Amino acid sequence: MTAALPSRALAGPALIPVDIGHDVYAAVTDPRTAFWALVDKSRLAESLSDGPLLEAYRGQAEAFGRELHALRFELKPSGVYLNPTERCNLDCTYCYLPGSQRKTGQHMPVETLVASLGRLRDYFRSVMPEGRKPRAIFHGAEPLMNQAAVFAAISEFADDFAFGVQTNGTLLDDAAVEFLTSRNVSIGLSLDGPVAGITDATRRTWGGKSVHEKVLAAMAKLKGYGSWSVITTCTTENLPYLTSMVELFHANEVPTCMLNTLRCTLPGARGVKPADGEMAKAFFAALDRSHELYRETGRKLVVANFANILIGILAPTARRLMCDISPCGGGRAFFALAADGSLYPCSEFIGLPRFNGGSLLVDGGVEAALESEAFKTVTGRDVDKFSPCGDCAIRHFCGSPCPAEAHEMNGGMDKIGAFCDFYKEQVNYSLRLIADGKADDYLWDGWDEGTETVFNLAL
Amino acid sequence: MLKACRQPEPFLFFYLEEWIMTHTVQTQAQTQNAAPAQKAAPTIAIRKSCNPDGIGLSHYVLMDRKAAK
Ligand code: SF4
Ligand code: SF4
Repeated sequence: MTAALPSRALAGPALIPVDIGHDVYAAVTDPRTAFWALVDKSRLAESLSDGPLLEAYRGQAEAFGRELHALRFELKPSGVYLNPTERCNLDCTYCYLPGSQRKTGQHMPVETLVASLGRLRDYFRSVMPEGRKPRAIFHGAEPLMNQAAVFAAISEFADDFAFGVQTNGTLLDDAAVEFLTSRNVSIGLSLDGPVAGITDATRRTWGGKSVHEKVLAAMAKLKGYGSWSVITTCTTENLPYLTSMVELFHANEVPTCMLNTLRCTLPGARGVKPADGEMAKAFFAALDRSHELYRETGRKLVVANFANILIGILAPTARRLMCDISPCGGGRAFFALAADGSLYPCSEFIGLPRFNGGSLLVDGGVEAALESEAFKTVTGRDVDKFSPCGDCAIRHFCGSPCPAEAHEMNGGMDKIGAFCDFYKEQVNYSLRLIADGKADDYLWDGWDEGTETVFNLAL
Repeated sequence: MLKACRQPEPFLFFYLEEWIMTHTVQTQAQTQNAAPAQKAAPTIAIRKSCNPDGIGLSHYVLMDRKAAK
């Protein structure tokens, strides 16, 4: 008796046409392997039938499938988000952490933070190749509210982790900047508007005071440093100003920014959620402006969240961010340590107790958390397995983020996230850039160092 | 001067027959203007690969450049 072949093998590779809104080109993809090609619209029919394109792809389809499978299911964690405090001096509209925690929550004691990093170092050594440092990012609430503990930990573990700090920038005085930059700690700031009136709409102190000027002062201090970035969270309040944000960042020599869609995990964020079409229009205008500035000055301002989509298309395994792949990176490429010592798949889940995977120091540590129901619920969310994503031609360029908002906003892990159409538009835009030979202009110089070209067809 | 990018268009997975019909209509209209026949644009398909060990974060991009300061 012959063993039954999987239906996929019987079907063989097939390509799906996608209209990318380009004058000349359409895309064809095999979503199962994240393969794509751009073909002249007039040759679309022949590109889909047996011909040189399909023949060349057939020879690689299995290898591409294996590569994608390894990326999606076989990674070991290599990073951790550390929340050294529950507190924040700001009360931003869209924060994913509950207000009560941010206002009156606890700091992690320095001894606990140091003991936690020791445990984490041992864990990462057991799973990561020798010579590679795990990443440890101090993250929200506001890590510099507990600066003494954060700096003690960075000093003690300088050789063991590549450190980063994501901060609202308001506590970044000269001494803090000197401490962090002299240790090559990567620094991320947050700014939502080109002028105080816009920033203040979503980011202000508990007493309602503006922090705009303080962030600008922090940016001025970091000018010339190699490892810093600024995040703008895009909301209905600042959408018309994204182009001005790009101009401000470029003028201040920000090397990298992120124009992130807000996550709609908690209800507060949903009130300022832009519609997908509006988001796309403003976002692409900002990207176009960043490109103009690059052409005018020769200096790039990389928009990292977009660059990641572009890289995910050109070189799936070279991506740097793990929201746009399914399962996402939460709970498998990295995880988060909350200020109370509990492990969560991602910081995005810290306000949601059912996703608590147990204590790092008291319970079974990282290994137990990775196997916990809390983590498995997130890492088991597979874009191939729910509708409409399972039939989507670009599902492995999008990943259907974010599981936290799918669960909280849309009612389950088998639901899409908050910005489906915006992701489709970003993939279209990326493919148009590739068609026009402009993709490299939007990426870090040397982004593909260490990569190998495994498919390059010009028919 | 750079040409501004087109406004985003609705993302569409289309049926091939629809595509061919639309395209045929356009082609007929163009023929009436006696446009010269154009050579088809070359197919573009690129994929790069690397070892994915140790990649990726979520909201935050770790800049691994050496500090220039
Ligand atoms: S998609 Fe959501 S849960 Fe996953 S890594 Fe991104 S923010 Fe975290
Ligand atoms: S969220 Fe939308 S674009 Fe993303 S995979 Fe699902 S259907 Fe496709």
